Amino acid sequence: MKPHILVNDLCKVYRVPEREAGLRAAIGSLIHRRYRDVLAVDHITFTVQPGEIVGFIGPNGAGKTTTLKVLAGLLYPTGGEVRVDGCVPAERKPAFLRRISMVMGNKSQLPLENTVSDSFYVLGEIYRVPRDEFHRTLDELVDLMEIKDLLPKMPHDLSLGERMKCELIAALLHRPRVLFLDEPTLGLDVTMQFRLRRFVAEYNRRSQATVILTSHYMADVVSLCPRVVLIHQGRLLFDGDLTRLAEQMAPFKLIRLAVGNGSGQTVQDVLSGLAQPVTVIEQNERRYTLRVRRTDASPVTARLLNDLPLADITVEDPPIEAVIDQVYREGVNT
Amino acid sequence: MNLRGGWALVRKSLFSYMAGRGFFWTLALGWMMGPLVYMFVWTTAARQGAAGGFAQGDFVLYYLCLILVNQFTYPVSNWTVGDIIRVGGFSAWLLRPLPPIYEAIATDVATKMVCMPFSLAVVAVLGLALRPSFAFSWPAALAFVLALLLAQALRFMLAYVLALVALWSQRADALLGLNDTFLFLLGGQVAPTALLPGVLQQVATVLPYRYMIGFPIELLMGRLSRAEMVVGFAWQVGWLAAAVLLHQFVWRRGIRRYAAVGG
Amino acid sequence: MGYYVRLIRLFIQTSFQRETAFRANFAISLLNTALTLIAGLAGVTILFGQVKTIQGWTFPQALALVGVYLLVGALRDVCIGPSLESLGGLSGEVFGGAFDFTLLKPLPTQFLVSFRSWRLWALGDLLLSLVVLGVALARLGQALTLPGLAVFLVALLISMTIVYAVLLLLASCVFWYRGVPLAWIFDSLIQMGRYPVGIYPGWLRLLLTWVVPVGFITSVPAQALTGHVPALTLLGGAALALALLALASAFLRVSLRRYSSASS
Repeated sequence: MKPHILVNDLCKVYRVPEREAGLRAAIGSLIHRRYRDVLAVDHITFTVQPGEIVGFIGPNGAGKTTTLKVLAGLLYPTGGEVRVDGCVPAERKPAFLRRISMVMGNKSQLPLENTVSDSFYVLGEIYRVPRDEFHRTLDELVDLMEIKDLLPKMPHDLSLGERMKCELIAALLHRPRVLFLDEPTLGLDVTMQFRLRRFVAEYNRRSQATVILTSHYMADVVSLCPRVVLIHQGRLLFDGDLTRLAEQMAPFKLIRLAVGNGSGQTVQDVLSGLAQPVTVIEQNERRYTLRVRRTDASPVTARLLNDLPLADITVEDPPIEAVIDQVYREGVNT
Repeated sequence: MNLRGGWALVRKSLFSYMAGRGFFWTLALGWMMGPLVYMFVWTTAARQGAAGGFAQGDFVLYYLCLILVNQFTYPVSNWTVGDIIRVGGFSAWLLRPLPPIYEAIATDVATKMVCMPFSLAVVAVLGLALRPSFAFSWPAALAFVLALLLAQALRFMLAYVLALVALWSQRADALLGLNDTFLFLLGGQVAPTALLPGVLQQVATVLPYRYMIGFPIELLMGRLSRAEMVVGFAWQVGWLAAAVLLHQFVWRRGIRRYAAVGG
Repeated sequence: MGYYVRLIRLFIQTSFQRETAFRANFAISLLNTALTLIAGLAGVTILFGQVKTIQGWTFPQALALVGVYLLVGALRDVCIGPSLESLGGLSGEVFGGAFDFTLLKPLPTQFLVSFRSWRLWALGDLLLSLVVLGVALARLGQALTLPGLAVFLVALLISMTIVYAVLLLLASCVFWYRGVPLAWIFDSLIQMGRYPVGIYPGWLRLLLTWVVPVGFITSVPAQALTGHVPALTLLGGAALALALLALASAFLRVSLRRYSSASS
């Protein structure tokens, strides 16, 4: 299948002014400005198929938002080739712009002092959406997001969550084929985050639009994106399934146990008697957290169940945040 | 009087302003435009002979001084305080162990420190090009400095008080606009107050606007008699006192309203 | 194209709804109109209280100049002013980062940033400026003939084109130097057009007629109304207006390219 989004060897360099602290440097900067070249995106290559939902993850300043903006045509690449839906984004052809959409977490496009429905109408006209199609889409989206009551209100009077819902709908009124979401759940409460994620998943299912999402909330990525692209210091470190990343990076599992009453061996004895290597990560009175290799998880659990009077036992994957944090610090070792 | 805190505030503003010095010099240039236009207007008018007791050279001197005096006394808090209140940043000022007026004064001083060199440079160039006749005298200069400092205090205070109205009303902008218009007409900008027609001149002598701009310049140029100077100073000090009193009233009322609404 | 006309109608509607969201706006606009009028007339009145003519211009002629100044200001405030101003300044789009949304729209950016905001209260200013012009004409004892009106309208069109080009140029500067106080610069410059451009020394006069044509913007329509404008001046003005327009549009394009090359 022909890729929907094609990125080949993308590079982006910024020139950033810099200045040291103090009065001397401040006056000096009046006469001569100093600049530094920052390589924000360093030879990134990937493709996205139609209908995919891809998550971009990476620490702050990694280059995720920059890459996203290049895909949307807001920034010109310094090098490399980019094609979205068959077009070169930087050319910003109206036909291209009508097929994409972008939502930015901490910025809104809806004017504060016009009613939501008025703003929607104007957007429909700008994007040349045929009248009846517009109404159909609007009704569907309003139902899906449940914002019927918000339509006659002004964003000025809405809460952040409500405003974000309207922003999202505003971005979808023209049924874009590609949707870029830049930290869409920023600052929203847990319920709203959940709602938004469900909405995006449902929308993708119904319309088969390609979605690219950047987020710092792992929950967004874990629940929405079957595929993640990890960008760190401008370089693409990982492209694939998130669970595969976890398996690769952190091929272990965590066993949490709570020891109940009863005689028998102590936990230490049992552990030292195991054939498999086990590390005690945490111990809090009668609660233990153990780390074992993935492959060892089953036999160790069986032995523990057998030999200890356990009140509770769970076997977990390591928290994805810990994995990602490890990747940021140590990089990916394939 | 927390001088250390005050100076730290000035430094903070100064550094960020110096980074955006283009903005401030553009501002300063804009402030010069009005006086320059009127300088050309009046010197052209006085071509056939003195107008209202001012010869061409006098007008040039008057308006060049006006540029500097206007720059020195310009109430930056006109803009900054109202804006801060509107976007909700005033609460941050209130939380500091310094009264908010320090912040207003600090931004005022910092702005002028950035703009003044520019204005002085421009006026120096213009002065060399146009060569106004200037007779320097120590008493006039001293009187000028005193009047200038009082003018700055007066203009700042009035603008600050009006800006504080934003604490409880959205119409503060309208008041500031009104204030600016009065200043333009009666402060000696559109014409030296001596040239204002009949009743307008009398009103100008009584209202505070002349004492914000025109009065110091008239003193420097030696156009006022002893008696006029004393009366002028009396009006200046009187209005300053009134402005300070008004500040107390507006401040108390404003803070009560602001705190009631929750900022 | 019908699409663009429909959009403009929508923009007007949206702006009107936005303006009427606050009732206070109306009263404040009225006040500002009154203040602008007073400030405009005061200068001329006080001036002519001291002299009989300025550079050959009599009081009614100078009054006509003030009228044109107010008219140009009002026309600017109706549409292109508010639209372009929302780009720059400390509360503007570029500074706040919302400009990306403007770029994402499938509309030519120049069209969008030039026509999206309308301030209908400025029509009141427009009316007042026409009254001032009427008074000036009455004082001159001149009747307005049809050909005279036609010349005036042509001159006005040229002036407004120049105004638009200058505003666009200034607005585009915001991509190079954020926080450029656009309205401030323009207002300061056009101040110089309040009085006959002959009051300025030779070199400045030339500058103000042909390079930063503030003199042209106000003086030519005023002269068209109260006296006579040579056809050559009009032709020169039209050429200048078109040249400035082309320059401004090109500069906007270059500025947008710069924006898209640098971080937002």
